[in-house]
Amino acid sequence: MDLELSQDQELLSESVAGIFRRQAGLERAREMNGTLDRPLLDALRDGGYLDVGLDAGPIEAVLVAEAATEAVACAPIATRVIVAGLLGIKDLPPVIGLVASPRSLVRYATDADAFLVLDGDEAKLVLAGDAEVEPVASISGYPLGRVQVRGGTSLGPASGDALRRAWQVAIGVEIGANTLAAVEFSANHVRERKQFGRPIGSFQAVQHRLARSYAQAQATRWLSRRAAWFADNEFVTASAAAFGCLTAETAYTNVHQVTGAIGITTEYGLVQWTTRLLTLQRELGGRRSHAQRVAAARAAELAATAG
Amino acid sequence: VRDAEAKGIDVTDPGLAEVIGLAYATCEAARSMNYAAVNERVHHPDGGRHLSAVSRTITGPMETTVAQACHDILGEEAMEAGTDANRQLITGTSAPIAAGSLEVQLNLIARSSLGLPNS
Repeated sequence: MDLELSQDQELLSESVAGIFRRQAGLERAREMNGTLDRPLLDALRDGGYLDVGLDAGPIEAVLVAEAATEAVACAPIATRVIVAGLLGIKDLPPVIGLVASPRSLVRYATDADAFLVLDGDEAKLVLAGDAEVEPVASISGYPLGRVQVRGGTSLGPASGDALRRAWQVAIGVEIGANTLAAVEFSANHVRERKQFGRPIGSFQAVQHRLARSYAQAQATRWLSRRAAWFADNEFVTASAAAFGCLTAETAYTNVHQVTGAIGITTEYGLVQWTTRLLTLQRELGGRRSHAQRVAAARAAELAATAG
Repeated sequence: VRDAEAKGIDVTDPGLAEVIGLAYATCEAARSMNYAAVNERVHHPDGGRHLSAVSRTITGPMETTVAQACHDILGEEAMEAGTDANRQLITGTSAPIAAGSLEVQLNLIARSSLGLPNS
């Protein structure tokens, strides 16, 4: 087993990071104020990055999604590169919304060109013209809406399972990257902020909160990369989402506790990552649902081995 | 889980399934982190090996999580001597202490990965 990035993967990471440095980041997210960043998506499409999951592979898709998430890109990039990539759907438009049920809240629903919809055992591709979208005001870091679909094209038998697994991978990837960015942002704060004549980051009570969340974020990242590689195995994909939810829950508390009052202001910026964590940890049924999927997948594996 | 099934406990109960699933997920996170730490050791033998402390920070509490899950699943029967749950309790209690306590690992991460000042 060799987990080092190849030369091509390193080059991909560097080039996509350059795009996000120029066209994304905290200042840009503030400017966008919860709306879709079309120019960023256009740049990614023109550079061929949106189809990297199809053209290069799942790890390449994850690398692009991680960079996008850390840079608080205001577009559903993980959905497009990871979920659509793992499902092997070609010629998709840039903005895709994911729909778990008619009641669920869908990211970028009002901007979506098309939706991938869980419908029992099947997944469907529904164009925006065949969907009714109701925007929902929220505290999320994403624009949200409810989506009612009519018709759509089935992606085939058992495609619902494949969509759910790919979505679990994306949740894990986004939580890992969001948490790492939030922890590093908070670490900058505690290095500078002084109390009792010392940076507050020199106190173990502060250090341990951030260190614990950093470790959980790294574990989420590596488990999610593994899940992308083994995307047919729900034991692994649901584990990535379930552990990601634990990570998000702890990180939200930890980074806000150590940054104090300034951390919860919109001007400061930390909430750009943490409100997204709140959304991600509730998507697709949240921790409880992912964990039950893990247990069911493991029981099925053991039954198959015994049989 | 096998022990619970043998005792007639319904491990498909949604509440227990959640506990079981989270325990498995935590194990898989630790496994992935261990792979990453070994990979770092192999490819960067002279580097800071930051992921070793991260790996230990996940693995120690994982053992505790699994011990708690065993007790949640088996209930008071987990207190019987000589059971797997009993053995896991010992592992789960000692894992965050052994080979450099959890707090030492957190100190290492704070300094080497997050660049926080000495306390």
